[in-house]
Amino acid sequence: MTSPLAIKATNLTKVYGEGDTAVRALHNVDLEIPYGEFVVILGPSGSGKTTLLNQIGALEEPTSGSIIADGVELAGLDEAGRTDHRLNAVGFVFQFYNLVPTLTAEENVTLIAELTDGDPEQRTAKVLEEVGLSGRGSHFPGQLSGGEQQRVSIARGLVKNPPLMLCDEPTGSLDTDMGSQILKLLKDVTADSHRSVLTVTHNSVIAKMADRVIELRDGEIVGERVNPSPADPADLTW
Amino acid sequence: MSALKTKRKRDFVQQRWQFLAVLVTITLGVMMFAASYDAYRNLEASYTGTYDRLALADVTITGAEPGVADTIATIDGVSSVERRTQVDPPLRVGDDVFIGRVVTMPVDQQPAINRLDIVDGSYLTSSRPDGVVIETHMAESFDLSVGDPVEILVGTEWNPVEVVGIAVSPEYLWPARSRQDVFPLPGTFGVVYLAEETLQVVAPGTVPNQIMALYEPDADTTATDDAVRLAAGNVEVVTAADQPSNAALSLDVKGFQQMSVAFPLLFLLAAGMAAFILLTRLVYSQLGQIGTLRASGMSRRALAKHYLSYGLILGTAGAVIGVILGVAAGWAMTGLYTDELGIPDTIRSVRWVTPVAGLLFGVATGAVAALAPAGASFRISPAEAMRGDVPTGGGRVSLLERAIPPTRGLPTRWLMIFRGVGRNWRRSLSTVIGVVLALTLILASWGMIDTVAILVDRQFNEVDLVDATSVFEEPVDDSQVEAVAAVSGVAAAEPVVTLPVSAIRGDGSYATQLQAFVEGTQMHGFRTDTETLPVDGVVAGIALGDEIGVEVGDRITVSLTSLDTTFETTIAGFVDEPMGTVLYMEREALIGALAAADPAVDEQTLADPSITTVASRFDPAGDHQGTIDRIKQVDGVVSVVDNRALAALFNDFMGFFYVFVGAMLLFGGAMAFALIFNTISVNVAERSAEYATMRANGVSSRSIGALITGENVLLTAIGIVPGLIVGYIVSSWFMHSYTSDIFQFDLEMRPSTLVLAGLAMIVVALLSVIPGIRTVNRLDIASVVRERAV
Repeated sequence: MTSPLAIKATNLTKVYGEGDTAVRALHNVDLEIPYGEFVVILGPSGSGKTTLLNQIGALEEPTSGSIIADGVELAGLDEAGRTDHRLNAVGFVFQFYNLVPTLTAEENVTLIAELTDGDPEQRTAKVLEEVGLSGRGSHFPGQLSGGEQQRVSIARGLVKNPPLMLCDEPTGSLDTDMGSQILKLLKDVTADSHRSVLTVTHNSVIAKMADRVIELRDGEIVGERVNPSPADPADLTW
Repeated sequence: MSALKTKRKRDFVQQRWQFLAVLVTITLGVMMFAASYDAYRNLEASYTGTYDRLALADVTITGAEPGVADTIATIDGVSSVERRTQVDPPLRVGDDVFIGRVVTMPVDQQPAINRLDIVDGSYLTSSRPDGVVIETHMAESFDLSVGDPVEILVGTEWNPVEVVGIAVSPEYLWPARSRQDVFPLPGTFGVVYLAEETLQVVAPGTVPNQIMALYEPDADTTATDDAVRLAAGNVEVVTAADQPSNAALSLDVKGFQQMSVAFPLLFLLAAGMAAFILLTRLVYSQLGQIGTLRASGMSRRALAKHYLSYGLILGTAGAVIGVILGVAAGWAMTGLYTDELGIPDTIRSVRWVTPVAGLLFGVATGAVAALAPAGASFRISPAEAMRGDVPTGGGRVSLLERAIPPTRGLPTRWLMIFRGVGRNWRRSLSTVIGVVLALTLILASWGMIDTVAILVDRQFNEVDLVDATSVFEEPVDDSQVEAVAAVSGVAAAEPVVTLPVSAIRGDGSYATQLQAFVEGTQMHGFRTDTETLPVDGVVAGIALGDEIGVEVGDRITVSLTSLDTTFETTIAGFVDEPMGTVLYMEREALIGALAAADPAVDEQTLADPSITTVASRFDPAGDHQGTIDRIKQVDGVVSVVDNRALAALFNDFMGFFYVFVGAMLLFGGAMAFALIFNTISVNVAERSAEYATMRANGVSSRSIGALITGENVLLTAIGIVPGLIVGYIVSSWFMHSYTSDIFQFDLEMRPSTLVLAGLAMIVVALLSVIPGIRTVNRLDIASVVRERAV
């Protein structure tokens, strides 16, 4: 590990389009997130939270500024470098799970495990156990509930043992009960002190369980606070 | 423009390449139909027009008694009868000597039957008793013009005549000497027309030996043919359908006719499937829009019509372009063809059937393809549509994994490929069928080239082993044979008897040739069990069985019109030879049969140079042309026919076949490309979220490209096996339809052809996935993963 910080952004700016149609999604964002924290990025639609997540996950290139994730400067990385970063440093969780319907839960996870070192089957079994899906590995996505599919999606992200888990509205498609289970799971994975979990959401209730809350509005950080006593996800309702 | 029309227009623009692929396939299908159907109808009309104008005989009888003409004139359906003399003496033009054909004609007026179309000079006139009209192919072969001399050999004397005219004859539009010699080499055959009086000067005592009849336009041809055969007796009767030139040309016309149906059908089927896949995907990707429109009060019928209109527009556009290109191509093909063959009446007309049928085919293809997707939009409930779920297929273990359980242990990427194949059966099936259709198209044309190449090779390397045939001016005996055998470069020489005959059994009669070889001949390979000629009886070309209904062991009558005798013999076997349907006997057996014939013919008669020639085989290492030149120096040799030149001529023709097969490969490849490209485009669009998520998780675009390629190459490979089987069967049917007594075109296909055709499909599949992979590489991962599918 080359940096004590999981993420460090400096003057990060992202502009979509040009000229009159240019949209400034992020503007001079400065951010420092240490390893081992559960961070919620909170903001309304269009505030730039997903854009920020995409910069950290190297899905997009910043227009200007610097962003160092897990010790790697992402600005200026080529496509191969970004792919490498995503493979080694990042686990993504999306609102719509995006599982491969022709692969079982186990195989969806193994698909990614096979890209990295170690015994893929063993690691898959381990993460499926961690997300509580040990008995459901042979089921196809169509045979799983939404919550179970999101667990598979989390397992898929975890199997690489990444230092960063990036979650974009992970409970957006789930009911409250299922949503709080998923949040608990995500919270649990930060028990590994090296891993940070960043969750973007517009749901302010979720912010109560975070170690740190960053508020975004119109592409700028308008607030940042540390929760002295994060809530238990099971106690959250929305 | 209504909003729906604007939407449709933008859909077309957005998925322009996919729609273009469908459009091109429909266009190709309609174009092939219009081109080949028009060419077929125009050629048929051109031949018929020429035959009608020049009054091609409906039947020609050779060797009948003079009184038979009067009898035939009284048959119901016969409108006119004429007699003429036809003999095949050697002709000489400059130093070139060849076996020609001399046909008598009335002077100062054209005959009623088999008239000539004078293209240069004039017709026969009484003022020019030594004048002759020559057929155009002879004029071209020897570069003859009006005023040039030609000589006719009678006995041992060359009789000079002068060319007064050059003419096209309905009997020699294709210069076939006989049904057994459809491809005489240029410069080895020519037809000369002269007055009966002139013939009597150069060949005194020759008597008219042919009767020709024309039928009433509304005559029952089959019944009249039968009545004529009955009246003619045991002589050579050749109907218009069997007339050598007409029969050869009919094969080509038939080819165009078959092409006008079979090939376009393949394209339209492929286009229909491509359109179906594309439009089905369009409907499902627009479920949200459909739901909103329905919720806003749009009727189901209006929506169904909207989606149906995509197919109709594609079909109509493809059909209109296809018809225009096809009619133009058909006209061009007809012109090229008739120019090449020198058909005097090139009839090209626009028939309402071509554009109407072409439009119907195209529009129907588009409409049928759009019907199911339009129906789906009709049935979807607004609430369901509003959810906008795109059916991407459920998960299940692949057939391969179920059949071979250990394969479940393969890397997950491999499993994705296997399961992707079964993910959307309808779409996978369409890819497989596309490959089958493309291979059918390719093999149907490639089978033709293989068959011709293999049969030509068989004909000239296994059956007809003669390198050169020498014609003498005097009776042929051992001394001539020995003289040829002694020529440097000649490995073997033998006398060969060739006689025009009719094989007769019951009511069935077939005009052909009888060839007699010495025992253990080295000049001909016999494709029988023993590979030799029997001591007794005849061996016949296999088509004789069907022609006159005979089997091995049956007795037949052999009528020798030129010797005015008949004898009976037994069918000892059949030979399967690529060209012609000939009777073969051992020379001694023929001599014995003729001695016992009624009336008997002595052995010496066979020595006549018009009956016996000297066949020779050359030393393979020798100088072929030099040996021929040396044989020409042998005393008494009138002409030497280079039999190998015919094989070379065939090989030259193969160049045209390669162009044809090349075009079909291109078309077949385009068809497969259109289908696979559309299938992949739809697959990629539907799975974009999966691919984007995989890329977000660190899977390289190269790995995803490999997944897409693997799945489609696997699907293509699955289609290759049935494609090769169906292609082989269709090709076999296609070739068999050309089989007649003139050619035995049973399909022969080189194993390498099957391998190459299969590989061609794999190459097409690899090319087809490139646009799909480029799409994946250009995916905006960030937006796709949030929006599920694009």
